[in-house]
Amino acid sequence: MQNANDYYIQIILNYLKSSVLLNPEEEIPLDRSLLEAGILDSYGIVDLLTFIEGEFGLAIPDEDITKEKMGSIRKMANYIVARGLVGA
Amino acid sequence: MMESVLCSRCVLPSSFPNISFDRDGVCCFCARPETARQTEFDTRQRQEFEDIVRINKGKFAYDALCCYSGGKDSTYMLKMMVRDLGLNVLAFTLDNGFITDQSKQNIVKVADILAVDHLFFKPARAFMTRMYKEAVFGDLNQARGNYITRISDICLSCISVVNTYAARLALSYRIPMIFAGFTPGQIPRAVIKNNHRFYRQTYHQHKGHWTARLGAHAAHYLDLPADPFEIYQMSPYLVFEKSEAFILAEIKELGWIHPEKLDGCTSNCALNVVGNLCHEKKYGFHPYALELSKLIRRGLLSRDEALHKLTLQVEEPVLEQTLIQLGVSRRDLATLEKRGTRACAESSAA
Repeated sequence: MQNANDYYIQIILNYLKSSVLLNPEEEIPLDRSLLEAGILDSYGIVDLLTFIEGEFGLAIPDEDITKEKMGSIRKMANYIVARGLVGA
Repeated sequence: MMESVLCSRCVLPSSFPNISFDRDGVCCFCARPETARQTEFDTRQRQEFEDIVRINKGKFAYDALCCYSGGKDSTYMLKMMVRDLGLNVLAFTLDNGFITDQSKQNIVKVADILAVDHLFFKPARAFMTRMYKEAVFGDLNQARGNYITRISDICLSCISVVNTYAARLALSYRIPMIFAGFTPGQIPRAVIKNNHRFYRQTYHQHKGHWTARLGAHAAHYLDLPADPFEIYQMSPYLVFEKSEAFILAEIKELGWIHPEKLDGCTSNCALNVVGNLCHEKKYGFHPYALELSKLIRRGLLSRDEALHKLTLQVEEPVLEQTLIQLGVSRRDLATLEKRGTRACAESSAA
């Protein structure tokens, strides 16, 4: 059975592949900063966080936009779960 | 080479990444329904925008800095800031060396009529042209190897300089809000609080990359002092949506005159056409197709108007003059085409 983290990871990956990436076949790292991996620029990070806010109906405060909390796709999924959206 | 087909509702072409069409020729982006969550998000954005304006008004000598390019969108935005929102504004224009004479006249006239303080900032021409060429022919915009480009490489590099200079001015004058005329397809949200920690993290990467390609002097255009003063980036067109016809009628009253000899997607910058041309060669689609399609979906522009914008080109001698000014030849552009094709082929094969 798919757990909540995997579910959110998949939604984030789907968004990146369908809307953001020129080559959706390219492998996207789950445990690395998308900025450092050269996948997104700073605008792309804001765009992705905006998607997460809109998709899951949450507001991400400024102090949570850190490498520790948002520094990879897996961390983003963990963050969504931690914010209480585990029932999806 | 196969002819690119356009969506029957918007202007996205079949060459656009990840696009698909239904049997009526409607693209997957037009067919995607707007979710209730998105509507909620839009409502929240508007509330947030109004709250930030209310809270920050009257706290400092200037309420807001206006990034004023002299184009139609930023001209109407300046009018809105002064007359509708009642803000005390400092406007500034980055003169990139390609702002038309008519645009400069518009800027001075509008600033006078609206009675706002205004500054021109003109970075050294040698730096700007080198930056543009590195953006087009090199890898200055590092992360865009596999990232859908909403604007051309030329525009992106220019906007990096504009944004940094705007932030520096805002810190220097203690201005809590920076307004920019981004439209719905150009930026994801109406209010972005400057996250200094995040900025410095991205800047750290950015700086080494830029200085390696443009020289140590490049840091001067990207560096910001470590200053915790709170600044909000405001994009009013995301919450106060206006049609182009409305905007043009409003700024006509200010004496704004549309400059001639420009492509259909700009109302101030002669370099835009080169950015568009290079983008189409490198990525296979027009850099404004995404933004204009979003405006069509929101009912702010007709499909015919968008098509007119995309197809309106400058005359050859005008383009030639701009290329000379940039120091780029037709042969350079041809090289770009080959390199883009090879890069795409390599990327597809990977």
